Amino acid sequence: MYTFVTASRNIMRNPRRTAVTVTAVALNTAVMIFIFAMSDGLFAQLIHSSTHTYVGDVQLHAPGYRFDRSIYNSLPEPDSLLQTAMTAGFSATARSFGTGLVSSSANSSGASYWGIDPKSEKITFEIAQKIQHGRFLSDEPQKEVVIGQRLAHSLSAEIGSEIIAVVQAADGSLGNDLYTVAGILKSVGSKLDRGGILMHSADFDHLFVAGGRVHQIALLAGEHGTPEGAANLYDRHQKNKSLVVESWRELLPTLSDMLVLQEASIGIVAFIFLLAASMGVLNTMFMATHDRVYEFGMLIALGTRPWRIVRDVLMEALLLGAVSAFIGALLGGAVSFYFQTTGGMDLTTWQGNSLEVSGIIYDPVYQFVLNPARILTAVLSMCTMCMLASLFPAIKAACLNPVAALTHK
Amino acid sequence: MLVLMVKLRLLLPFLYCGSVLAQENDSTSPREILNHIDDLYRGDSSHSIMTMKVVTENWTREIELEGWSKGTEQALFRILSPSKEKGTATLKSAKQMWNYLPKVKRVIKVPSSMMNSSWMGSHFSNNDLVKESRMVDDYNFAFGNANTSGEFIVICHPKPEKPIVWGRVVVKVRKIDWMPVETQYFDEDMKLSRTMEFSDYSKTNGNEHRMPLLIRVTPADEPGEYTEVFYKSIEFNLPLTKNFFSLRNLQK
Repeated sequence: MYTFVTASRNIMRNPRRTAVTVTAVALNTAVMIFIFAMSDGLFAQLIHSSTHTYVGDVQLHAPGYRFDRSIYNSLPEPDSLLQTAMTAGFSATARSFGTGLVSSSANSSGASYWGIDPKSEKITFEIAQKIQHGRFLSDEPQKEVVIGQRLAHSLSAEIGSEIIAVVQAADGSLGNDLYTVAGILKSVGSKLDRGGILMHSADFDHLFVAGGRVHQIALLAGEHGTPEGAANLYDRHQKNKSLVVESWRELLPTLSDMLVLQEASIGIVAFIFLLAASMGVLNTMFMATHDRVYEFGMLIALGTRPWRIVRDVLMEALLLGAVSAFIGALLGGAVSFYFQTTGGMDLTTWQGNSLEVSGIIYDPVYQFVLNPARILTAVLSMCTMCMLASLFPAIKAACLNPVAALTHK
Repeated sequence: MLVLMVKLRLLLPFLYCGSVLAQENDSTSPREILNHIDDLYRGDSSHSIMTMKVVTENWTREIELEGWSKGTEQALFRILSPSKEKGTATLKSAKQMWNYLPKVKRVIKVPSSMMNSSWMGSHFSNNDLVKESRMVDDYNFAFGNANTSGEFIVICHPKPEKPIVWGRVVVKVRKIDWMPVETQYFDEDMKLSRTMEFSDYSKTNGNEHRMPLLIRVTPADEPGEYTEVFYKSIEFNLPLTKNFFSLRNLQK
């Protein structure tokens, strides 16, 4: 108890120096917390935008489909698979895929055709809202398509343009038909942007003579579900190898790896801030102990054990660190909270529209997520670093020669 | 044609003397063999009716086609049957390719990115149809050792500057009449990619010399799949004008 009182008195002996140190450490802590919140927000936003646009938390495919993409390699009993997901509280949608040629009056291009159920896509995923021009598909088949942004550009296609689809149908014949462009997507990922054409599954079936084949079921874990829970639903199917269940981490390995890397680099950045702050504390404690050489000499001469001196100095540093970190946490937390609750930091003027790096879309409005565990980590680690930094001056003070110290002034 | 006939007559006594002698006989050069093969189905102009049967793992399809060609630059193919696909046509002119689709009454241009994909679902690629150049211009060639005494084998490697997807092409012809027997196509890793077999050496309507009427293409990596083209009739050197090979004519 007395240690605490002594430490606090000692800190206030030079208020200006203390204030400067507190400011430095507080700012470092605040920035650390700000960066954690921004980074956590970015992770959450990346995962959300990657999984909720159309990928999902989990996808089901027939074995080998992701490798050969053969129209003949389809899921067995897709309706019952969908039903299993829905009854367990997941939202799910079925899709069929085929490749071929698409042609407009201006140009032709290779294309990846998606046969989807517009009604269930609208409920489950966000792709229906990522429309740049026009609108999404109607619930009923109307020989219309929604195409990717870059594809629209290379075909010089607009809303209402007519496009011709020419494909190898599943029965070997040349499938071909005319469609109207009902909508053009925003940038949602390079594969869809460059060659994606969405159409009603009935239109797809007709074009490809696909016989109702479904190649993919994408699931989103709702409020109460988890990707692991989704995988468990299909345990029996996986055991008899009739289908393959994969989570977004396996489907988007680039994103998964990037997040792991980002987490590690945030740790390094945080450590640098801790180091910087601790240098400030080190300097302050050196000055503080230097000022009081006479005092320490007196204490040692009176019989104070070295460990008590060390303890006193460490306590001073701890108090300094704790107060600064607390202020810093309040500051950093307040700023982060502000951004968290007001829709994020809008960097559109610097970043422009969505930025895509390796297939991952960065929204120009950066979200923030405050995590109490992170704040606690920041404060505790700052306090620890302050104590560690002051260890050297503390030991130096404890090992003073009392005679030299007393005659120092 | 006449020159060819004369050369064959000259060769006949030598051909029966044994394969080694024939191989070293400089009146039979690999160059001549390759040119002969290139000209076999071309001529100055041609008109043919063929059936094409495609067998794949998942379906079998048979269509009847009519085709015209002029020189190396122009060709027009039109499907005659089945009725579902009747009128579908392909026009090739000056290194570009178009398809006409009667169901939607539209012409589409085949982009260069799709030139390696299959033509009409067969095991021929779009590139196979537009091939203009001659083998002697595109490849370095030499005789190889024949497995049987009745065949000449010419081994061809593409010249480095030529845009050819194959690593090696092996041409086998009959010694008697230079009729192609088989052509093997190897990819850049020298793995066999596909085999073209020629058979049914007969005459057809409007054609007084014999040629292989049946061509079968077998991909190496898809067992059981093949495409077979059979020439029901073929005639050469007709009066076809350049206008014949037009987009307007494509849409008939």
